[in-house]
Formats: sequence, structure tokens, C-alpha cells
Amino acid sequence: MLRPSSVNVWEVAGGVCFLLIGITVTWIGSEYPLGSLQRLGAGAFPVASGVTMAGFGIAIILAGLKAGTPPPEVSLRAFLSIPLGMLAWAVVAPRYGLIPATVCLVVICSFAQRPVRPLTMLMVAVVLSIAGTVVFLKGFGIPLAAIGR
Amino acid sequence: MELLDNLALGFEIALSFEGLLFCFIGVTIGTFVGVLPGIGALTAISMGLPLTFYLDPTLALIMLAGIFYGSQYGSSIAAILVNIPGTATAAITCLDGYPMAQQGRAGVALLITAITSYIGGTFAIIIMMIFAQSIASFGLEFGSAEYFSIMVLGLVAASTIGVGSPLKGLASVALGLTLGLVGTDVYTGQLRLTFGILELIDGVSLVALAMGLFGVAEILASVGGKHQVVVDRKSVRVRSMIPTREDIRRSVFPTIRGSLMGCWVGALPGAGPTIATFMTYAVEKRVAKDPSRFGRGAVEGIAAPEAANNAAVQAAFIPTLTLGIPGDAIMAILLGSMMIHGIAPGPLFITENADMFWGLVASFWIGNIMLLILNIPLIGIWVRLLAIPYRILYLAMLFFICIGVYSVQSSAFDVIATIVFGVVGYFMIVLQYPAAALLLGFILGPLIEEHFRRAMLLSHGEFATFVDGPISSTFLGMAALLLVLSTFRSLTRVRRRTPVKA
Repeated sequence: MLRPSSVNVWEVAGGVCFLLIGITVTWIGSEYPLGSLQRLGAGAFPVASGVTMAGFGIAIILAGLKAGTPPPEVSLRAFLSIPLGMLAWAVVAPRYGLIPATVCLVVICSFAQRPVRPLTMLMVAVVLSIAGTVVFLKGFGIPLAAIGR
Repeated sequence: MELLDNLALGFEIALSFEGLLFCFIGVTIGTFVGVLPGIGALTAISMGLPLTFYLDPTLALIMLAGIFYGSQYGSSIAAILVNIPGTATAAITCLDGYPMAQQGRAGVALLITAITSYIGGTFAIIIMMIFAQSIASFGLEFGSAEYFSIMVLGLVAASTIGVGSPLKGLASVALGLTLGLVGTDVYTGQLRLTFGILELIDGVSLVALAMGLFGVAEILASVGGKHQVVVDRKSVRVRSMIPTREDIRRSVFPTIRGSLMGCWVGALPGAGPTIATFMTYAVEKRVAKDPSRFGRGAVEGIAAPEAANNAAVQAAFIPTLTLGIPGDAIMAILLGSMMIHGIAPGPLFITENADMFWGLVASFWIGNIMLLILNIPLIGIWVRLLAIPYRILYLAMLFFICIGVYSVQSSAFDVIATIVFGVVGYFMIVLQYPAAALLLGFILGPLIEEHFRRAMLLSHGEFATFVDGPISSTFLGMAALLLVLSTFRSLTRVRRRTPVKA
């Protein structure tokens, strides 16, 4: 009888996350007043949910140890470029306006896909910037400058 | 008769120019979203959320609801034509719809889908109209203990029923619940879990959470994948749509059964269109005289699930609007957006916001008719849309997400929060944790806490209050039963999976 030789690291890691979050939340929650059963304080539910999550975390770790499912694949390109692109948007938009921000977003996020096509990228950036300005800034009146503050 | 008066009021609103316009926009966006693989109804509704802040609440709801049931139509189209379900419910339609398309009967499949969906939806709307008031009156009997219990049941049901590990479902709910606790405690004013971040005083933004968890996460997971789409244009002419008499005969009872089941299951909190569709297919296969036809283009295989699907989608509005209890994540978002406007769905909603309620109901009628009529000639356009390359689409989506989230509170922090939730959501997809359960926990969590505390306050600290009343104890009992059943199910599943290799 053979045991599954690969412990699924990802699964166990997921369980560990829940466990850690649960412990943290319980700990923080216990700092708030817990109150009595009749008048539950602010800390009661955080502690309860923290304990529950920690419990689930342990169960998931145990389940992860048994299962022999193959680990999932993660796309590093998408993972780096998309958050970076969105972060750029969030930083640039309030300071320099929608159009610069959108260009940054499109350019950086385009790297998530292979191959990067500069012409398409520019076209999309232009179209989205213009459409966005018309629809969201003029149409919906969102308080954001097209260019500038 | 009071019902007719209410309907008149509702139609007055729904048939206004804006009412029709937003209904049309909603169902069109919904169909569009359903047709395209990779964007779900949940994502689309999340992206539409910021719009509710600019529109009149009733109009916004009409539109969002339109997106919801419109997406069901759209996803069936993709399922039949290219075997790619736009939503989970359409996966069942693929089973018999795609074989029908391969046999050159795509047009027939599409027409039957449209008609049975319409019948299912209509059925549910009628039920809603007839029973809404009585359900609401019943809901008035609900005290905090009862609300607590039914919400717990809803959460447990949502995480344990259906595909996937119940354990992960429950863990997701717990995480969502915890996220819902972030912010200011309503009773004591205590700041909780804010980590000194000013922007978190009012809690985590629902829009950021929804857009991140569903929009960004889906994009992260789909980018780099291959979306090759080939559609046989010839089989989609209008003339080829006419079904044979045989087809019609075979569809009648499945449609009726599907509508009933969809309505019933969809109205239960925690169970939704996905379960209704899967169950109906299984039932039809059992009941059929020749089960071997299923999976090879049996008309019953699309008629019943489609009817159930739409019936469930419409029926899901029933507990949401009459009791204030969302049945699934999408309903939870709609509920959340209503609450942001200061409108509290619940037993009093129908009477206090009669115009909104009946306006919505009337718009369901109109929306379903629009879908039925519009989709037949527009099929060609949808077919062409399926060819838009994803590598352009995802950039547009990211743009909409950024500006959408930002526009709610002019908050760049919210956009950053969206990124964080996008990453979290991505790992949830990869590790197979249901994000919808998290969202449900997030929205119901604060409500559950409120009701629990109030119940304990009123009962002077007695836990017995939750099992004293017949209603409350029934709900809790059902929740407990579901927990036991799913634990049993997953334990036996694990045991079966450890094979003995000789």
C-alpha cells in the first residue's frame, strides 16, 4: 500500500494562513471589551470568528496532508504586472489625472500577456483614455481631472 | 384588487423612459457578459455597483437585476454555440446544447432556451407577486433570534451545498465574516481591526471587495490562457431556428418541472440557480424514458435546466426583498447596494418602499420579454462578439474596475484594497475556495452579529432563546443537519480517495 508521496504544500499553506489569521484576530479581539453574555462587547464576535477560523485552518491543514492533488500553477507575469499597473493608476490618477493614469495602467498591465504588442497597447490606451474621459468624467461627473489635479 | 393596484404602480415606473432604458441597458450588458467567457454575472454586477451611487436607486436596481437574469441568457448562448459556459449554470446547458449545435440544430437550441427561460422566469415572477405580501407578513413574526438562525442557515447552506469542499466553503464564510467586522462597532463605537488606518473606520468597502475578489481575481487567473473560439455561422440563421413538433412536445413537461424546481430551490436562502440547474438535469435524466439520449442533444436536457435556471434567478429575489435575507452572493451585493442608499429590504420594505418593490417586479416582466424578443435577431452580434480577443478585453476591464472603485469615495485607498482582494481572490480560485461564500459572509456577518447581540440582550443572556421558538429552532436544526451531512460526505470522500496500488 502506497501513501501519496507529495504533501500538497499549497493546500497546507492555505490552512496555515487561516490558522494565523484566526490566531491574530482572536488575539486582537481579546483586547477589546468582551462584555457579558447579555451585553456582548465589541470583542466577542472577533474572538469567536478568530477561534472558528483557526479551527478551520487546522482542519484544512490536516485535510491537505492527506490529499494527493497536484499543486496549482501560478502565472508570475500576470501576478506582478497587473497589481503594479493598478497601483500605478491609484497613485497617478489623483495627482496627474485620468489620462496619464490610464496610460500607465494599460502599458504596465499589457506585460501580463505574452507577446507584448506595442501598437495594440497604445491603441487600447488611447481609446480607453478618451472613452473614459467622455463617459466617466463628463458623463457621470466623477471628480477627477483628465490631466492634472 | 390590491395586487392590480400595485402592479399598475410598478408598471408606471418600469414603463417610464428611464425605466425602460435602464432595463434595456441592464439586460444587454447582462447578455454580453454572459456570452463572454471569463466575466461572470457577479463581476458585471460588482462593476455596475458604483453606478448605483449616481442613479436613482430604483433605476439602478432595475439595471443590476437586468444584468443578473440577462447573463443567464447570454451564458446559454455561449454554452450552446462554443461549449464554453459563461456562468456555472450554463455548464449544464453545454451537455446537451453543444451536441445539438454540432448536429446543426444550434438555432433550435437557442430558441428553445430563450422560450423556456422566459417561461421559467415568468413563473417565478407570478409566484413572487402572489406570495410576496404573505411572506413579508410572516417575516414580521421574525424576532432577532429568528433572523439570526435563518442567516446562519443561509451561510451554512451556501458553503456546504454544491460542488467543492464544504470545509473550504465554511472557512471562506468565516473569513468574510471577519472582514465584515472591520470598522466601527455599531453598539459601542469601538474601532475594530482597523490597524490605525483611517480609511478603515467605516469598514472595508464592499465595492473594493467585490471587484477585487471577482473582477481582478478572474483576470489574474484568465490572463495568459487561450481563448480560441470557432463558431459555425451557418447553423445560426433565423430560419433554422424553428423547432419540430417533436421538440416542442418533448419540452413541455421538463419546462414545467424545471420551473417549479427552480422556483422552489431559488427561493431558499443559501441555495441558488446553480444547484437548481444541476438538480433539474439529474431529475430529468431519471424521469426520462430513454436516459441514454441525454448528453447527445436531448431537447429535455436544455429545456428543463434553462427554465429552472431563470426561475431560480427570479425567485432568489423573493427572500432578499421580502425578508431582507440574500440567498446568494449576487443577492447579497444587491442588498448591500440598497443598504448603502439607506433602504432596508425586509418585511416592511414592500409597504414602505412599495414603488421600488413593484417597480422592480414590473421591470422583471419587461426585462424577460426584452430578452426573449431581442435575443433572437441579435444572435449574430453575440456570435461576432465571441471573437473579441481577451488580451484587449482584460485591459478594458481593469480600467473599469479602477475607475469604478475610485469613483465611489474618490479613494485611491479603495483601489489598493481592490488589488489586495484581487490577489486574495486569485489564491482562492487557485486553491478552490469559494469567493462567493466569502462575500456572503461579509455582508451577512454584521447583520448576524447585530441580531445575535440583540437576541441575547432581550433574553437576558439566555442561549435558549435560539431554540425556544419553533421558527428559530427549525432553521438552526436544518443548519446543524447540513453540517453533519457535509462532514459525513467529506469524510467518506477522503476515504475513497486513498487508493491501494498493487
